Amino acid sequence: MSQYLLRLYITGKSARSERAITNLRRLCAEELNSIYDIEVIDLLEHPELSASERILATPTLIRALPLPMRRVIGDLSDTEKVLRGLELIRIEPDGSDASAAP
Amino acid sequence: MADDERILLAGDDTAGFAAASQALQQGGYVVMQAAHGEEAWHLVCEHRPRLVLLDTDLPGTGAIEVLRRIRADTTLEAISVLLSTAARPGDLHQADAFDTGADGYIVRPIADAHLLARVRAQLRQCDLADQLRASEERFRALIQSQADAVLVIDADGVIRFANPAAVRLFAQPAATLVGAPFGYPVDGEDHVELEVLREGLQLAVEMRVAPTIWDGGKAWIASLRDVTERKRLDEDLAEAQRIAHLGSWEFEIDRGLRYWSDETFRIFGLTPHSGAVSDAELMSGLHPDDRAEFEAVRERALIGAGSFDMECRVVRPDGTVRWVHALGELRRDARGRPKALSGTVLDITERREMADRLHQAQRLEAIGQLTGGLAHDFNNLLTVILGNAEVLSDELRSAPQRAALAEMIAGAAQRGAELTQRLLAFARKQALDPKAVDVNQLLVGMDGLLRRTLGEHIEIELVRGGGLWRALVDPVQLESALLNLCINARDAMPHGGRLTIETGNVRLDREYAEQHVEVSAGQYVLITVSDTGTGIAPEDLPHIFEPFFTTKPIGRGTGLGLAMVYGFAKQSGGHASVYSEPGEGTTIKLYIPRLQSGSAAEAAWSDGNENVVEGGSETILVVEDEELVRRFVRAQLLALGYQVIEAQNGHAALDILRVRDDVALLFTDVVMPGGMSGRQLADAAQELHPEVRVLYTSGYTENAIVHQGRLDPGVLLLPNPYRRADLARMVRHALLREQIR
Repeated sequence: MSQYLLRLYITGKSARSERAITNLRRLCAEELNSIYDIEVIDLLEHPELSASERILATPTLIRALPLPMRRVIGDLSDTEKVLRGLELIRIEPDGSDASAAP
Repeated sequence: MADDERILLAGDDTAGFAAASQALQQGGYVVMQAAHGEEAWHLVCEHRPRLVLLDTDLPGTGAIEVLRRIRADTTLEAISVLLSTAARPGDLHQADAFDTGADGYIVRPIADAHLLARVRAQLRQCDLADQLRASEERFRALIQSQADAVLVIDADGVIRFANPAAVRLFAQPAATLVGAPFGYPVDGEDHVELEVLREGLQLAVEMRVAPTIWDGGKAWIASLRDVTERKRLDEDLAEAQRIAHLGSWEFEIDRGLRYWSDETFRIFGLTPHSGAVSDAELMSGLHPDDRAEFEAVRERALIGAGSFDMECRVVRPDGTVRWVHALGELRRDARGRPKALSGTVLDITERREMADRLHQAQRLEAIGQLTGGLAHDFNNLLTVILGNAEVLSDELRSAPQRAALAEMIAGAAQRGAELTQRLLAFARKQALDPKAVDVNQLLVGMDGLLRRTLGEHIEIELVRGGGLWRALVDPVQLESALLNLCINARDAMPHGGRLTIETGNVRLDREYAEQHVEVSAGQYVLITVSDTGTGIAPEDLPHIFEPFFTTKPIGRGTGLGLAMVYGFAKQSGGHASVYSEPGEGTTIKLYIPRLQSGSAAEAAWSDGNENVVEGGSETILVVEDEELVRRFVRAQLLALGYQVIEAQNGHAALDILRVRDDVALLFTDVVMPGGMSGRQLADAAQELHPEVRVLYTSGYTENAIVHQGRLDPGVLLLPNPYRRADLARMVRHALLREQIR
């Protein structure tokens, strides 16, 4: 069972979208020591979601599980800020777990 | 102390405000007094004091009620309110008072000095609050009027404030935006690029984020700029520049800064960057031989000319050289001083190469015309010399010493004839007799000859392509061309080496054809001759197909070998190209057109090199404008036993044909003065006498019987000059063969 469900909202298959996807996969592989699911949702294919999920701009990354939901917006290349924004548990360089969120 | 520092003291006599009033007035304040609640409220509304001191024992409307009314009116929010009460422990409503909005509490009796200090302290706090309010007011006004969308996002990522530009950007009312989840903003070094989907439109947005405090909590202030239009224009421009190979550049004179567009970087073979371009980047990109001129042109543009226009070479980091055309203009500021030099740079390499190739082809064409004409005249002379030398050597059979002299003349004339043959080949004026040729088989047949010619110190490798198409080419001339190439290769490898001959099928596409003048797209048999020799110097490469151009020592080369190969390939409907690296070797590629199945030339060729001189007794009409040649031919034919009639041109020949019906063979030059070609004469003759056979002769074949370099089907041609044996054989052949046309 997945501990984390991450939904990445993008707009079209632009270079920026590709970069966000790559950054997210790398971040999860390198920083998360638990099981996670990533869903990538293109708002051009599902325009109705931008209203129902209240997505104002992309790339938006939502931690859908566990609750409460957390979301970050912008460039996902800054791993530190993404982890803090989503309140994800990460592996510290010494191997121990630590909460990155205050 | 300012005049408007008004203080209201509200309380009855027991409050002891009389003394306090005096003390405050001495302290410089304007003091008003109210004896009961309604009066106090009236004075507050009327005079808007800075500070109100309310006694809890205020008669009428109570102090707490007055305080509540003051705080209920936002226009009175700048007023400080202090409560005073007698020291009756247990009777204090401090909590009530503070809840209602009191700023402080005084327990009386209180010393005058103490009261004064309290009032001053309160007013100072009041001033600070005023300043804060004013600053917040300015801040709000600033944000409201921003063209950029501004959002305040709290620590939970929720929007707490949105300015009118944000309302426009998201097309959502402020009430919907405030309270909506936006997300924890993750910014880059300067800004982060986002997309906003608004009513089906995809907008490009740049977001900048700064931390702030909002309502006492940590928050971010995010400004978002719609850059959709700017990005579209940038992309359109970059795309246009990329397609056109046209870069742009600017040089700011004052600061000495240089900026390039992405395409300009690409033309220089560099990875585009956004910063200024250094002098070193520019200069190292220019060809060393062009730098001085570049600087001179730039100097002229800066100090006077005002415009910049030059063609120069760019050397990319990988060593490739590109030709560019740079154009620029000087821009001036309002006072007319030079401000910047800006313009375009266009990659013109392809255009220049095309022009060079065209020029090269035109030059070869011109040389060909000249050479062809000259060779034609020489051939006529050589025909006479060769023929008469042979007659002499026959007649001098009884005097061997003199016969040897005659044979030497014949030998020299023969060598001269071979040279003129090469000139004609270069000029594309030789008569080719293309046939279906298996090039692999032809090469195998040449193997022994090649090994003898090249010597043991050269290794020969023959790589025969599988499934090779048959070529449509004159096999004798192809052998001659290949032999020439091999001899050149040998001379380039004086100390030995390897010669590789490779065959294969190739398709030249339209793009290749367009880049190479005089090449048509199509299917070819490719013969590649490579050596491991000295190679050709780059400056010699453009000239190697020109006749008389040779790099060999005087006496070693005629300069006609490659010229012949080139002319032969062209005339055969093919193409020749050269690739060489000094010190590495040379590769010559010969493209020969593929034989299209079912063509008339699909007949095997046989090499009939008979030496038997066979004569006859038929009547032959010889038509030749050169008297020397005509006399020679007549003598030869008479010697072979034929009856000979002569005519100087086509009209004279026709006159004869009209009155005689015993002419078996018309032997005519192809090119003649007098307005009638050999072909026209032959047609007319066969109208009169359908049984008349025709044999053409020429040192120089024009379109009359040769189309695209090939003999028309059924046409017999004896190339000039010729040996007696050739004449005899061809005459016999013409007389005996079936009438074809």
